Amino acid sequence: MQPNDESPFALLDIQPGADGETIKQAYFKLVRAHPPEREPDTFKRIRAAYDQLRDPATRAELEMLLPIAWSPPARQRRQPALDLSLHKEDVLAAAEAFSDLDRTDWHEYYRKVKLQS
Amino acid sequence: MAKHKHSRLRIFDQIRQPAPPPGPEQAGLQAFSSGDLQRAITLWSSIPNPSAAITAALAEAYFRRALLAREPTARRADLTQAARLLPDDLRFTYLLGVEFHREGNPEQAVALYRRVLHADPAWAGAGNLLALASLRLNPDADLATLPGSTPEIRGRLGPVQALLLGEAPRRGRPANGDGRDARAPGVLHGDAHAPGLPQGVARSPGLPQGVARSPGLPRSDGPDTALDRLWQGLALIGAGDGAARAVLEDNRPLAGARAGLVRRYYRGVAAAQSGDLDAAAKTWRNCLHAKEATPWLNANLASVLLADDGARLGQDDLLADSAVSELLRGVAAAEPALAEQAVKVLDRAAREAAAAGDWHAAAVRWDRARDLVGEASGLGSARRFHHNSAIAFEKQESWRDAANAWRALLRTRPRAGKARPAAADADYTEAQWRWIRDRVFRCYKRAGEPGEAVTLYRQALKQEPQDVELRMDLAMALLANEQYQAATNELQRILEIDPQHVEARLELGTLALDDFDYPRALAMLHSALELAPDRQDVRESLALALRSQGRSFQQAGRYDQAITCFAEGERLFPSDWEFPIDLARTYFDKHKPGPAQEHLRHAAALAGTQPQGHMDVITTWATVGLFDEARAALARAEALPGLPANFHLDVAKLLLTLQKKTQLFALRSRAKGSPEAEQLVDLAVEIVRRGQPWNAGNAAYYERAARALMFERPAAAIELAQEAVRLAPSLPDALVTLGVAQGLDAKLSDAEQALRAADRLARKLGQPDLAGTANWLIPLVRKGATSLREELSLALAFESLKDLSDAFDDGSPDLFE
Repeated sequence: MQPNDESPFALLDIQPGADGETIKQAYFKLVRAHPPEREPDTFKRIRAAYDQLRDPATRAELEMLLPIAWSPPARQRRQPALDLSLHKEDVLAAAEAFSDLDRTDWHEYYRKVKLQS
Repeated sequence: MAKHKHSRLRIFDQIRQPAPPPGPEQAGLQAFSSGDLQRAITLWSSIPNPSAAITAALAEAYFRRALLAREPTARRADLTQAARLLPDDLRFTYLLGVEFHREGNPEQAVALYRRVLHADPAWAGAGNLLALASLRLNPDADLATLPGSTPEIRGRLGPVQALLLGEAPRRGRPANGDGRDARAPGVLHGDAHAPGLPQGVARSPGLPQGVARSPGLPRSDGPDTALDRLWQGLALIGAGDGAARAVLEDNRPLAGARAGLVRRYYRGVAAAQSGDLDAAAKTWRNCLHAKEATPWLNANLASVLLADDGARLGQDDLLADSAVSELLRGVAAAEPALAEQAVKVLDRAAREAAAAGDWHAAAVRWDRARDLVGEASGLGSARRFHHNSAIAFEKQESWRDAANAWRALLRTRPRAGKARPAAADADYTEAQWRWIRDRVFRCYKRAGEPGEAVTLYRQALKQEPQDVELRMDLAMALLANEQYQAATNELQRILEIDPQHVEARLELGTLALDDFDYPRALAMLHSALELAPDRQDVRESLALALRSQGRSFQQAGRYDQAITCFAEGERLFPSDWEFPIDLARTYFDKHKPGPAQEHLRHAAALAGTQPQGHMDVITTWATVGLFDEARAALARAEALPGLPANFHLDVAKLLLTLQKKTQLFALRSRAKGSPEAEQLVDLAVEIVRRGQPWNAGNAAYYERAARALMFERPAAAIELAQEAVRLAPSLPDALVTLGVAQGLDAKLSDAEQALRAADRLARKLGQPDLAGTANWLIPLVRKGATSLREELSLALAFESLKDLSDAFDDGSPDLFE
């Protein structure tokens, strides 16, 4: 059990939404494993977590402040296979790259403007 | 000198006789020369019956503006104008053809190129583009018969045509009218043709095995060019030949940028064909910033990045790359499976970042996942990502962002009458929606903008004044901002729009209860419960209102009305022990012990394993003088598993507080302590002693018990304090309590001795405050027990009254404040 800022749920190893009895059981189990006389610091953290979770309002708030994992839709979609074929569009694009289609400088097409004919 | 004078005069002449403004022709020319083509077009277009020169100038202006325009439609419009003005000027026709060609309209382009070539068969570029546009329309087009076709063009486009035709058989292709082969000279046939490659694509001697030599170019007339290699590589790609990879690894520059991009993309394809997805991903990523990325490039890159559970996205922190993000967004709509995989990977990466404390990275990833869910179909709502982003922003103390994220989440709440979200989707209870609404306000408040939520909701309501949920959000923000009257007004407005709105009735009922307006609170809450009989929170609010109203009636001596309220509350909440206790107390007040006792026993049964319930039952029995019943209730509580160690002491302290209250009322009425009060103290002492087995070795229990009892029963307190000192000799508090108890019991010498010992011990332990208290008490003890009691009573008066007040804090107006 590492002293970090893990959530009370993680500390007591219970899922969000667990009922009061489950929380109590988890607490007692941990206290038996980490008795206060042997591991006072660990016990303090366990106790603090338990105190937070046994209060319904605090527990509700803590649950709301837990990130929710995304569940993909029930129907599994088949991922498309890689398209490793030769595309005619690419062949034409490569060929057209050497034509006037990709030309940007047309200054040689300019004509002088004379208003007197 | 004279020369100077002459110059000045000339200047004056010019000032006196300004030159006439130029006409539109000249003004247009000036604009044209200065590059203001728009003005030139406007001026020249305004000339009625323009000369041929003006028409030509106008066409030139349109033409030049077309070449400068960024938008294809603007370019085409100007070129069309130029061509309309000068239909015989082939520049305009040709450029218009180019424009149609670029826009993907080869039919129109072909028609225009043919027109140009008809007028000038040698027009540079037109023959080449006509051939290319014709190949777009028909890869099998006979290039030799096209106007403007030259051997050079056919030689250049021969391999292109071969690649376009793919596996189409070319053998036996009829020769052209002039007897030449349709393909360029030098095209390899027969044994040089690589199996599996398109006709016209040959293996190149000297290249790795399986590597094709450029078709369409002389085989032995010189070294392969970069373009030759490209065609060879593409032919091998088309044939699925692994040699493509080596052929396309040619870093010589290609003159056309698009050709370079094609070569790079197919390097990736070749790598993927040989199973090297890492190389494919890396190569395709380099194509990502190109302007014209094709859908298959995007889909393939997305696929390899997401393959293997998104392992490649983790490399180089690609999840934070905005180009990758754009790519995933781009493919999401077309490929829901890829979008789903991307969301999964992003969500997992976000949660990993969050677990590592990197909430910034987590927020970025959740934001991107949310965007993808928005782009793709069938991935559910973006709720959980709004939720998670809000948490991530809170962790970073970005309160405004957090408020906005919670607000975005709130906006996804299903509106009344609208379909509920899918069961698999993240859904919230009404209580949770309320929490979110409150959180929006809290976050704005922490951002230093408490009125922001109110302002935002008011702005939104201007757009949708009939949206009751939005108005509810505003009402709750007003409540959180302590603008109670404004909140009440909004809630009432909601009921005008939707009289069935349960939330509004619930809030109005709660507000009325806060104002002790019981009739209004009960009316609102009753109507809310009628509309939503299954809502637990509505039931709870009504029960709370009934309890408050009942206790108010009880204090006023209106017992029958109190009983009606408590009984209704009990029907709403049959599992709550407080209603039967309230009923019992009211029946005792009515001098009807029969039903009172029945209710009290029922309360004890309901209390089950909850110590507070048993405490209420015990103290109720005791306050009506039924001490044996109180002891029996205590015995039942003691049999509970896991009874808290401080239970007995808490009951005793509650009894002593009740005894003080009894004395206070007795003082008011008879100016004398009642016998019941003394019995309450005796019971408290008895209960403290019964609690000793639950507190064996617990010095704090004995010390606190001694302190609780020392005024009323100093002798008993001395015993308890002595036990505390025995258990914890180094506890100066216990010595102070012992000294005070001895002083109150007139054992002045012992008291002074204990206090001096406490002083010494406290100083030794570095507790100067406690040493000071002991020293303050010593002279008081010397004055005698009565003086000590008075001094201490005075000093503790405020604290005692506060304790008494707390003990009876039942939501009704407090008698002691």
